[in-house]
Amino acid sequence: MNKFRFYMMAFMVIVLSIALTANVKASADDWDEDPESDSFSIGDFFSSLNRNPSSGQMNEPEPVKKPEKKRQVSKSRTYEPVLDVALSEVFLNNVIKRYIPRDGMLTNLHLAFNTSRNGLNIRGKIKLSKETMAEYGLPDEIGTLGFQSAVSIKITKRGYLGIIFSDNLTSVWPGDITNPTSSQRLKVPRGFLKMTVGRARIFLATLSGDYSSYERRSDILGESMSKARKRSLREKGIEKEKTLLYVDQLEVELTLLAIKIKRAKLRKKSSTKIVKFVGEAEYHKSNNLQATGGVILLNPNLSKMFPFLNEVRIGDVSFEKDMGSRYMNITANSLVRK
Amino acid sequence: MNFKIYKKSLVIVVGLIICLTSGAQAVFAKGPACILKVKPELLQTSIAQDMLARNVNSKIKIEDTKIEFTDLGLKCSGTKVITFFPDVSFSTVIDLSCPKSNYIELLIRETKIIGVELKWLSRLVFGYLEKKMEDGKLSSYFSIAKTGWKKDSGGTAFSILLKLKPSNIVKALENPVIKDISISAKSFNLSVDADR
Repeated sequence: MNKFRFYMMAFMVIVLSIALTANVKASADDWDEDPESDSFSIGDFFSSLNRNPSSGQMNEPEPVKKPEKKRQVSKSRTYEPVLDVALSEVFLNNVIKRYIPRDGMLTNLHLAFNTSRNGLNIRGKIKLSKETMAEYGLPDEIGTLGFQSAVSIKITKRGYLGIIFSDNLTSVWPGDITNPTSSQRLKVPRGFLKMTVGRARIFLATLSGDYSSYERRSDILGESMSKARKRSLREKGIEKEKTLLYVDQLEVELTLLAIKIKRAKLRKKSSTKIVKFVGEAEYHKSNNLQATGGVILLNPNLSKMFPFLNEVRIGDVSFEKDMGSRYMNITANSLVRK
Repeated sequence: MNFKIYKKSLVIVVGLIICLTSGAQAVFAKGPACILKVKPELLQTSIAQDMLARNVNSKIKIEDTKIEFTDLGLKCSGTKVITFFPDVSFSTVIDLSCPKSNYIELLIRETKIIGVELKWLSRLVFGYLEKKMEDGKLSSYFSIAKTGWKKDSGGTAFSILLKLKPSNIVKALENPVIKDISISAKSFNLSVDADR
């Protein structure tokens, strides 16, 4: 008798559990019939029931419509901040010290984050060529100039990183002075700043594998060279110009080669990690790096920086003090399902 | 005699100067090179959700699976489907700490099934992790250094000490060292130092 009772009880429990699971599955199947129900879940259905406990009409069509609105909301995707990367001032300065060549155009480069102005100051020394000095009427003795520039960073609507060099806060002084007074400083003319920013763009692009500016220069020189050759066949006394152009072209070719060697050396020093950090290949012959006026516009390939994120763009760049150090905080935004 | 006192005081002063300056340097270099702050919204990105869907057992309802950042740690919850029986809800809290550089300690506590806390189930989380390690998916990021039960202010928890391989985790920096890990409801923070 006891055995019979036990079997009856077990049978009842099994029947009840089947009935319960079948009920849940049936309600789920109702939702699956809807062609747009791919993102809708049973969990959502129950949460909608909890919101309207008084309705109590699970089989009526009306409550079925309500979660549809919710489903539309759940499909919307917006850019939201998902990750902050804070880089310390000390660390960045040491990276600069390690990777900027000592015999290059820019030396003694140092960054100082300004948390109150939400920007940074760049200080260093710049070696000028004789042509540049002649262009701006500077005496030949000044081979090196000390410079300081206040930079602010802004993000464009498209997610481009804008590095803005301030006209008012950019000054130069003779290179042998370490701590210049205000009278020793010279406010930088806008044209000079423009030129420096343009050079910086070329330097960054070259570092990223884009030799197009040099190739363009080489092509122009090659064209004028062939023109001169044709003219020299017709006229006499043009040999001098031809030689000069040939020397110019050779110079460009050698510069190109020197840059390639420098780049190979940098690669050897395992600097590629830092270069790759800003999306090396993507700058190549593209408009991802622009210089207009006192502004450098960058479109860093963040998917290389954060390989675990797609559809990512820079949300914000801010400067803050934390744990006894100053940090540059880069916020990455990504598409998030709401 | 006077000379001896003078010598001693000089040694003390020099020692103090050295201590103070080295202390100042220590304070200056105190902050890590890089801090990564992962926000909870990262778990809502398509790539994270796809990853979750790929790695979660087929018997676990993916739409109910939730990973949340809380002040206590990483809270994982979900529902498991059992044939012929009603679904079973489960949850666990994984507390994260960094006892020393390049090591992470996972403290698995509050493992609940249908709201009932069952401490012995914490070992199952370790079993899952061990299985993933055998698959070779996670072994490039860390290795298990030590496991066992641990008693602390939060109660008894199953502890898993992981030895991290930071150069595979933070690829952008040279010779990175993971210094600290903290978690709150707002973010999951990872402090990394690198060659300076």
